Amino acid sequence: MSSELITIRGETDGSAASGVVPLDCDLFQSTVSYFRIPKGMTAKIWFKKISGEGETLFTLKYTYDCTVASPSWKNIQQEKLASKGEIALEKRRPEILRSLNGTEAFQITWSQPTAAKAYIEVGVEIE
Amino acid sequence: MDKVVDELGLCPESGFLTCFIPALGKALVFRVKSRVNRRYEVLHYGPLPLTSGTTLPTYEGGSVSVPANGVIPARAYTKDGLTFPTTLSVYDKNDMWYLPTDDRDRLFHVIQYVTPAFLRIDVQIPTGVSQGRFQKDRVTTGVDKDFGFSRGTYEIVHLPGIRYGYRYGNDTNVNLYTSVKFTYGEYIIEIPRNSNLIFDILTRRAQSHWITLPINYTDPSITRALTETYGIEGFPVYRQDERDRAIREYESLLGGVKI
Repeated sequence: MSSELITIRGETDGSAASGVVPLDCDLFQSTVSYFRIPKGMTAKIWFKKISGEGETLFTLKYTYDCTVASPSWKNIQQEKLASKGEIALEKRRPEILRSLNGTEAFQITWSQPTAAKAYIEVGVEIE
Repeated sequence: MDKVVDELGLCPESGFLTCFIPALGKALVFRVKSRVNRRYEVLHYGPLPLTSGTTLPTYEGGSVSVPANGVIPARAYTKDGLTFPTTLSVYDKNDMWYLPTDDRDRLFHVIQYVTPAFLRIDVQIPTGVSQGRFQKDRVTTGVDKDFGFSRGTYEIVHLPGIRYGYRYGNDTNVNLYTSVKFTYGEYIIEIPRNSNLIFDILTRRAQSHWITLPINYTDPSITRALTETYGIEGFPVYRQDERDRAIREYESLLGGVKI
């Protein structure tokens, strides 16, 4: 089975204090609000890079079924940028998100005390 | 012990290549006399030959248009197998891997790498005929089903006179840009004339790179092409204790081999 390492990136809109990060990547033709993991495969999160103009909490969320009208998202990981600046987080062991039924997906949300531009990059290996 | 394939996964000169056809229970055994493109085995083809505006079926049962050349839409798959067009002066500009039956001394051994590697791949042989089967012929499998496909890579041998159609599926929710890289060998081949050697290869006692072609349904065009190209459909595979019977049959078949 082949694997593909992609860097998914997104940013806050700078005007809302919370929201869902539009996900983009060099292989994506357009942004999406979540990424549906191909059936039987896993999404391994190897690294995250976060930068921004102010305090920002990014949350990685996962759902078992993205096909329903209102998916139920569970928090998987949270990374907080305490103030203006950047952080880079690398994993020796990745966070693994599994596609058990072909309907699983992940998304990233942001939350800020004051709306500001912030950016996130996530290294994801689809295997 | 010699390697059956080199670091690229291709057969070295003087190596053997066996193409087993499950539907026939027969195999073609080739000796690679020469590899024409030695040192130049990698071909970066570019995006998948998906044309903007083409309608593709979706996993949800609907249809969707290809939004741009080379982009596979979210949750869509190709129903009909794709061939790889080229602007080069090849025999058929719509299918760069197709060889006529007259070119029987040539063979393309092709390993395809698709980006993104999580795309589903299967192959129709000939184009339009799906070959994935489950429980005899009760179920046809493939990229449009839950199983019967591979992801990211596909190794196959293109036999002359047969058109292969590749199908792809994108079961994510994203429209994806695509790319294909081929690692291929254009072999100059012969069929060995030693029936003992053929028996040893087909009983796995002599080394050969063995590729099982995904042919589970014998379309008449396949047997016709094999006979036109090689003079035979292949060598039946026998058990090790059937050497005498096998040798007799192989001797008989070798009398009709064209190459």
